[in-house]
Amino acid sequence: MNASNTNKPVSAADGEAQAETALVVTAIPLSKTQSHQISEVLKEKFGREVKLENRVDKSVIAGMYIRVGDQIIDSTLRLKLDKLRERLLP
Amino acid sequence: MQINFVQILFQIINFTILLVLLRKYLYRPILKILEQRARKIHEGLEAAEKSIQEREKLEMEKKKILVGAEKTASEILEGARIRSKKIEKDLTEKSQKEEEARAKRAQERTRSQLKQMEKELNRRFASTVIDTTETLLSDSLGTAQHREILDNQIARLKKIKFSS
Repeated sequence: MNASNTNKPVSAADGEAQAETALVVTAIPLSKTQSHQISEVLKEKFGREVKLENRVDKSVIAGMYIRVGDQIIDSTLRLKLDKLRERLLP
Repeated sequence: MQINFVQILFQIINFTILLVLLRKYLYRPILKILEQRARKIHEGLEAAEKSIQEREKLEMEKKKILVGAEKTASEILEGARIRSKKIEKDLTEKSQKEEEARAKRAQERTRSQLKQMEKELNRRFASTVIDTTETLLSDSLGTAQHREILDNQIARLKKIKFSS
């Protein structure tokens, strides 16, 4: 599970607005419990309320991709397979 | 038979006169001619002797030159033989080296091609494995397994440090 910065220039106002919404991409829709758990974790980490936007995308295969502002946590199987492909097929 | 002394005397005088005349007009020119001839013969003999000596000398020089020429020819032939052997040896070595280099290049080319083929095979194999894994996982993961994976990741999410 990786947390990384996109290095995209974001203004303070944009950061504020984006920090409140977290994009979570999964292969199946998140259950209410999972959504709640994620919201709680993110609230604790960022110190403010975070609204979740769950987007379903089968191409991630499994796991989840979270983007909060300019921070990304990609723990999808897609990323793992892509990294494996990069390592095996340089 | 009676001896006529006067007649004998006249005959002696005649004979003496004849001798004197013969000596003066016949013997002397003949002797002179003979001497000249003898001198010419002598000169001819000397010239012949000299010629023979010259000829012998020339023969010796000729022999000497021939021996020298034979020696020179022999040396030239020996030199040419050595040079030709060296050239032959050099050409053989050069040809051998070229052949070795060619073989080495072909070997390296084959090795490189094999390596490339091996690399390509591995690449295709890895690609097939990844594609198959992707397809299998996409098709085989059920909702329960997806949820389990998500639950695990949510649990780990709590341990991640965010830079706020």
